[in-house]
Amino acid sequence: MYKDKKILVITSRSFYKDYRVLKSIYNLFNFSQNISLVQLLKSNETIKKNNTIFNLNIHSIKPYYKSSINKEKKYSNKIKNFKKNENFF
Amino acid sequence: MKIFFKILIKTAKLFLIYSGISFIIKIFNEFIYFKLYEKELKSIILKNKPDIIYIHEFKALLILRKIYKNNLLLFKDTKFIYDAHEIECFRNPPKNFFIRLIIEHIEIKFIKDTKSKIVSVSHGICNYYRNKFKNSKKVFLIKNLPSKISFRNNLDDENYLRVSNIKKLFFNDIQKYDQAKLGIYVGNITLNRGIEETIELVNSYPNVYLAIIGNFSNKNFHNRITKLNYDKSRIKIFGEVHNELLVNFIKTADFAFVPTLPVTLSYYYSSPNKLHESKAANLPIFAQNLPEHLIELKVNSSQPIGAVSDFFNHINLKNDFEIFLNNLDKYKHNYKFEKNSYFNSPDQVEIYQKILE
Repeated sequence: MYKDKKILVITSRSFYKDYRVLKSIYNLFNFSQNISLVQLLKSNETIKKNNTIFNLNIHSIKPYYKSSINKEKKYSNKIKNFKKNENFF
Repeated sequence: MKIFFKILIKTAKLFLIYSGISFIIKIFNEFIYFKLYEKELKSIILKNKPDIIYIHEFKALLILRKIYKNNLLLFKDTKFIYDAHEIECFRNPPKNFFIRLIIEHIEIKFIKDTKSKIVSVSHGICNYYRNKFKNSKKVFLIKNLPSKISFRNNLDDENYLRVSNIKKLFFNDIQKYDQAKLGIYVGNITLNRGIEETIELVNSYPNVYLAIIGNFSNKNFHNRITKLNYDKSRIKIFGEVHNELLVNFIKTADFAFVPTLPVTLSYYYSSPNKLHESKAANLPIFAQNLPEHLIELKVNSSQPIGAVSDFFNHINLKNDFEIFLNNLDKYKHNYKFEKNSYFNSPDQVEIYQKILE
């Protein structure tokens, strides 16, 4: 009955930490495999890789305008490249 | 005298102006903050077009509400489920009267407009929502039961916890291991959870030990606890343990504390994770006198698995604790009559079926 239904779970914090959210996702998977998750993170929270058993389509939102997110990504990439540099001590 | 009154009136005026301005700034800040989330969430909903939206907690509801209001057609066939982990307007720390009213209004209006089904954690909170909507069929109870299922892929870092247990970790001295009475507190270490009262209580009993398992919510509270004058060899603080490992980890303790203080309605009706985890570990429980604790501990039955007291009343607390310590074996024995329930039990799956109907 629910197999093809699309479910969207919205949580107001990082879902890895919240066992009630994880349990609800586990229960919802019994009814539908088509689950997406939106986590509304605080500006200082870091976006972690999906380390859970769930194969989810995860969207992480922070209170930034899109341009700010792009800027953040751009700078974090620059830092990564800098660290990869062999001359970096 | 006149000058004194003039000064008093002036300071009162200044105070009112200051509190008014800070209130407006607070609301304005929140407004901008949530506006930023709203834009992105709307684009995700437009892209996914979900049939069911499962909302966890009020902040998510608040952001979704704005999108719902401006795009009614988008949600024409969408079902909403609202998981209220707590009663938001009566959450800890207690909120300003006006903010409480605004939160309550927003929450009720959204649930009524969307005909959302409500899920919550305790009988008390479920009854609160049943009274609000005068409809018992749309409110469902899903307890925060501990899980045996691991939701994470990598468990290597916690391997030591699988072989170890709290008593082994706490005591190096084997002689003490058998004689000492070890109590545990599990959960977030923060304000109004009764941690300070518990430390003070345990500190006055030389043969009682306390293991606090959890993380500090902020630095201020960490400083507050470290400043307390207590025997640090008998009261130790450990880090957080993951849900699926926790029950086995705490099983060797002698009893558990659930001292949540009823400073807000949400705490008064709370059914904390630690209560269910301690029950799953078959530990006698010493808890604050709250409605949900009375039900779960079967205090008024002939087979109680724990005792309750008032953690604000220091004199009675000590008496009750002494009686509790003397009856530990009886409480432990009564677990034979208790059904041990874990997450994903058949009843929970059944409830989900009803919610999604």
